[in-house]
Amino acid sequence: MKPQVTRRDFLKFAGLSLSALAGASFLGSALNPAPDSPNIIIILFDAMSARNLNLYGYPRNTSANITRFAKRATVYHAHHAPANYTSASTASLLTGTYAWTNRCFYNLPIKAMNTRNIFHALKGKYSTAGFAQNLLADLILDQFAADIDFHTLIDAYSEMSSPVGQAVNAIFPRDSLHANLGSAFYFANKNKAGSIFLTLLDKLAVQGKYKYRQEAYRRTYPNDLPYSWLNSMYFQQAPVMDGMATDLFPNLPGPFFSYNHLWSPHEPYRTTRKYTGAFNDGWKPVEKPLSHFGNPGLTNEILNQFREQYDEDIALVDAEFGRLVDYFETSGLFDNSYIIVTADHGDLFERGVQGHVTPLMYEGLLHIPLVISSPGQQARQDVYSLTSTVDLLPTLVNLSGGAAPDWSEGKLLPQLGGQEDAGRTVYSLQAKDTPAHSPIREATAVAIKGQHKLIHTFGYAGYEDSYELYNLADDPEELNNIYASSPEIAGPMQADLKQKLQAADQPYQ
Amino acid sequence: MRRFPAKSEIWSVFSFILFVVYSYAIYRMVWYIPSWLGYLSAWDILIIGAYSLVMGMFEILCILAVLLSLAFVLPARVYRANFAAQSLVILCVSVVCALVAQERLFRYVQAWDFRQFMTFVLITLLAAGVLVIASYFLAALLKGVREMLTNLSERFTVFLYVYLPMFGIALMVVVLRNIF
Repeated sequence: MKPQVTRRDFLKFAGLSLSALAGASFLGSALNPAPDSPNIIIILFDAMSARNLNLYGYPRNTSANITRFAKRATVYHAHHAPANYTSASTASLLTGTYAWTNRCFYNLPIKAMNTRNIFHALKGKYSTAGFAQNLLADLILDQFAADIDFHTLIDAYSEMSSPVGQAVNAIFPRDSLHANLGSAFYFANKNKAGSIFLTLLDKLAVQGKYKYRQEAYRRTYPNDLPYSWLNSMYFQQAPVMDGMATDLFPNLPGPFFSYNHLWSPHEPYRTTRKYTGAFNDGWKPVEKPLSHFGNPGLTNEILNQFREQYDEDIALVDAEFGRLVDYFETSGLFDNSYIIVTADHGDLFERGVQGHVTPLMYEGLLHIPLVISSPGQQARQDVYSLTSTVDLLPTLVNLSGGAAPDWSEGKLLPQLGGQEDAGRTVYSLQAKDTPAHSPIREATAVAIKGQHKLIHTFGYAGYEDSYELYNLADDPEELNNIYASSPEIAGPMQADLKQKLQAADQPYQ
Repeated sequence: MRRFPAKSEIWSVFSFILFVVYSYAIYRMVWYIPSWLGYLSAWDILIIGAYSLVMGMFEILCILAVLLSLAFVLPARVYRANFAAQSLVILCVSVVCALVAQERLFRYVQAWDFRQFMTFVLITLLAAGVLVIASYFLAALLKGVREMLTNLSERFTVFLYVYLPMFGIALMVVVLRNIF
């Protein structure tokens, strides 16, 4: 006898039921916002150092459009990342806490900050949206899925990406965090995968598809398309900006909070023909000595070539961002939104180090842009006092009409509810090899107070623990270590940093 | 159905693939556990393991489907008649090649153009064809080798009793997590 309900009917019913459940849950939980609150948009450029933007005094004209944007915004000149890599810095931005508190030394521990994050803090007042092109940041968004009303897929505006990644997101939307962690292991791109054959097919499928169109892409991007190896994703800059402008922002019910974590100018540095060679100008930065953690093979000449490519990549990203600025103008978002441009960390091209996978914590890595346009702002303001990425959460919660949460380690940003505080210290920490629930034994910890920066490097095999102290006002290139000659400055900073690290370790001793 | 191998032989080959794919996945998992323990709880690690085993079963079924398709398409004498023994040869060689490729291939692929890429694909397909023929000569013509391989493939069915329940539990975990 033929069944009354066919398999197709069942699948349709199941699909509709799931959609209805999802819709009901969305309607029930999300949108009850105050209609007159301004939107909040964060545009985060991965690995964009303030040190390479002419907005912050760099001699190459890499950031004409960010500078244009800054004409109606507040520019924070001494803004610092809380870490020199994506996971920890993103976790700090989204939770308003340093890594020693949120324990995101490598990846954010699951459920660690499920009620202490910016999406949770703003939900109810805002519809919340998250989009991250960096898999490490996207995994953090997955963790906060319960508080994100619109989670744009990592490859939404890409040319091509891992078919497995796409399938996992499509099949397991209700448990995307664990499914993506499982898939990241089973089809791992960087380390050895759990799969024997499918991981090869997955990567070959992307490569085959890419190679088929490679010549066409190379007419625009002579050194190939921007690429994230974390999920085998190729993309062009223009569709990403267009996607946000035409697909993402217009479809968010207002007021909305939208966190957008863009891959570029992260390496590999790939720019369009227009910007290739744009900075082949003969300019050379100050030469710096090889670090203990540097690669002697990376000579200054090679590092300068990488820097040139990085600058070209920034110039392209900036040009595309310029189109987004035009959109903010024409759409009226400038009038009813806080628009925040920032980065998670920078990149380094000195001392035998290229990129940001390093124990080093010099300013190229930590000094990042922060430019905030308030609703209707017409004139530029400049803030020179120290600020940190952890300040964004309390500031935004405060701007939304809520009280800055007491669990956040950040302060209200000057000009946005806070006061300039000359006595303030901001911190950064690199402790990738520390398990989340263990004391910090191998790390680089930084304290910056006023114009002085103390770097404590400890626990690395084959390296004697050290302190460095620099006067960033007199010595912005961090070449003259005054630790030994300035004990009156170093001493209190050292004690403060030691106390912070001890307090962080105490629960895990 | 006559174009497919005997059920017992399919079962033996399935067991062998299951053994290879799951053993390797679990070996890799053990390798990763110290770093996972850095930020994941034991329960989270078990869930990730469950997803990996479910993805692994998909891989196993894909491999089996390829072998069955070959058996369906090729003349019986060339492959189907000694399905279990020849499949063992094909799988052993393929696994070694795949692991070497994982280690080295992508250093080169990035630099290739489309023609080089397609040449690689064609060479791989040709190599696969040669492998099937080689397995025929090895397993079908040499009686001793064939018997040894067939016996060996039957031994692997014992792993079904370990790995299939593991898959069952993993599937249940994944399904439940995606319902509730």
